[in-house]
Amino acid sequence: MTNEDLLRIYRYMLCARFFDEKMSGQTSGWHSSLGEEASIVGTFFDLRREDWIYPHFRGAWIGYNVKGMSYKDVFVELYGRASGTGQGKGFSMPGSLDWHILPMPASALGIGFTMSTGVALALRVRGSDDVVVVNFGDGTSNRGEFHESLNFASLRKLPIVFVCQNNQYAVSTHVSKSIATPDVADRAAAYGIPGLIVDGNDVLEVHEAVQNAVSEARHGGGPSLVECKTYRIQGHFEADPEGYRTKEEIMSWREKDPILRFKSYLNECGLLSAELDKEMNGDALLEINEGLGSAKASPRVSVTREHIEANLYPSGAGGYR
Amino acid sequence: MRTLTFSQAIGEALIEEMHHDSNVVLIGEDIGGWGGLGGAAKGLLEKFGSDRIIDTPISESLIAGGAIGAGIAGLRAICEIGRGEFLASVVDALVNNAARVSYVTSGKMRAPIVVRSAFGTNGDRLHPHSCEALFLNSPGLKVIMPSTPYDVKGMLKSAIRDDSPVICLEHQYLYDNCKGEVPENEYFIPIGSADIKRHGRDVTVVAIGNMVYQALAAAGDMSVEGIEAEIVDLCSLAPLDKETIFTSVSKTGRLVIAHEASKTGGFGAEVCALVSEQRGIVLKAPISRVAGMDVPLPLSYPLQMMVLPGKQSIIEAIKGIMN
Repeated sequence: MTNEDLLRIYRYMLCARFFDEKMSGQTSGWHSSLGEEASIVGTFFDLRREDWIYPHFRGAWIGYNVKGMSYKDVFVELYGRASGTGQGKGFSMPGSLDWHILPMPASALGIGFTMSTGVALALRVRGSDDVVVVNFGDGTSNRGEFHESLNFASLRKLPIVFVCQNNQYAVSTHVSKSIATPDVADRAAAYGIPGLIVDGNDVLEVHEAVQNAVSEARHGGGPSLVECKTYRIQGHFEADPEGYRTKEEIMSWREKDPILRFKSYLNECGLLSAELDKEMNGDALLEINEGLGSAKASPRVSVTREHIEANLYPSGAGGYR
Repeated sequence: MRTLTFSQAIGEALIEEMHHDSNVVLIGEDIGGWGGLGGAAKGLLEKFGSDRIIDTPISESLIAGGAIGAGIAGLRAICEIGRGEFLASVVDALVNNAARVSYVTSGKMRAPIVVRSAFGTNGDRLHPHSCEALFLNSPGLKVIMPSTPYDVKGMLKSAIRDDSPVICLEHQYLYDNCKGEVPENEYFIPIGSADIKRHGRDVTVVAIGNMVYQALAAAGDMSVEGIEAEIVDLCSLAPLDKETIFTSVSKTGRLVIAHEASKTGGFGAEVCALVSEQRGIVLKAPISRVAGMDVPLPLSYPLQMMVLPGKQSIIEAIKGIMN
């Protein structure tokens, strides 16, 4: 990893934080990823363009950006504008064929696992050495689809990496009340695949673990699970009344803020002076604001029957070849 | 012209399409070993190998969801969800997700999957439940129910080449018991096209699946009494060939709808509503639905026979509206 890479990672994390703060301010339904930037950026940084990803809904757009999509295009999707993939239809995340990001057509969690496993199967059948990375929360690992997918991926040694962003809460339910084993990673052994636990607030530790798993999968070593231990600073969504955890608990995790930790590290490496940090913060905030501005200025879709009915039954050219 | 069974016709469709496009794969339980649903895929494992004939554990969510993902990434997966009842386990995958992939990505990504599933009874089989009604309120999903060897081969080939997700419901009595003429040369039958299996002037009977044969048998009996029934085999439930239904009912003025699934909220209700809404159709009698009783289908043979509609119930329905 070069010094340039380290600063790129820092920039992604800063953008992630500013993006999340902007969205939290916009809507009470926003699922904040505050405090989970290391887990998200570390997971998706430096994957191949052809590798496929299915990001966790919490921090998904950050995943989109790290995978290659500009924040302008992210905002175009959020605003349902005409130049996007989603164009105002569907549930939130339309994916991207250009960046090999899978869509999330509906809100029930679980489909991410099976759909991703199907992509990995296709990669195997077509003789590709690309890999799928599917990212999900602690609560989601309780779905049946998780188990069906790990089992099948393991049986067939499919090129897929399962990355759990364990922020310890599924809405109001703490992991200790929903997962029967001490760690999510324990579940990997049940399917004969490696399960690794990493500090989810250490972006380099996350990145190294995921890259190793991806490399293993790419070279025929089969799937594995990486569990990133992190913490959800905000509520499940902005208007979450909470009441199920203590302020002390939240404060103790604020002190382990992944961006502050990485900043410290960069500082120690002599890569981040105060001036550079200020400049990078400014650039990141500008990137978010400019992206938002460009998207808001971009053409809207037409509110017509024709647009509403378009692509219900696809025809003509399209899809992945 | 040669005669094939329903199952053999399916097998030919599968082989032809797998030869035509190396991206076509089969995913499901016991396909390699047993030949899958109706035994139609027998021999395909030896022909195409285990990369394309993919046997899975008992994992329906994975089969359906996996087919979607494989489709997005360039394969055309024909997945088998063994029995109609099992389809209820994959409603999330099919209704919430497969149906929406193209729509929410403006056509850029697609789920070009076919889901084959077996249902229906002859009184001596397990897994008889009909389940088409689960999928008719899901825009984006196509649902077909071919009832002859000729129809199933042509429609399945179209379904495999279609970029929409298509559920092909196969009445399992037909697999080995139904034989029919199938041309040697390649042909396709478009999805969304009904077929008039028998012309008649007095009453329209819209039927699906094995009820097509019950309706034809009823028509034979009625003809002796001077009543000529027109039997419309819908073939395709979604999209539905409204024009053929409307034309026929305009001509006869009388409509009986026959399906094996239980009556309330069944497919017949949709056909009733469509005909009732259509201007210009003058009905000589109320529409009559012939369907299963509103109970879960009993296993015991005599009970099942009473619950299920058949030739006799169609005859009674026709007589009831002929005044």
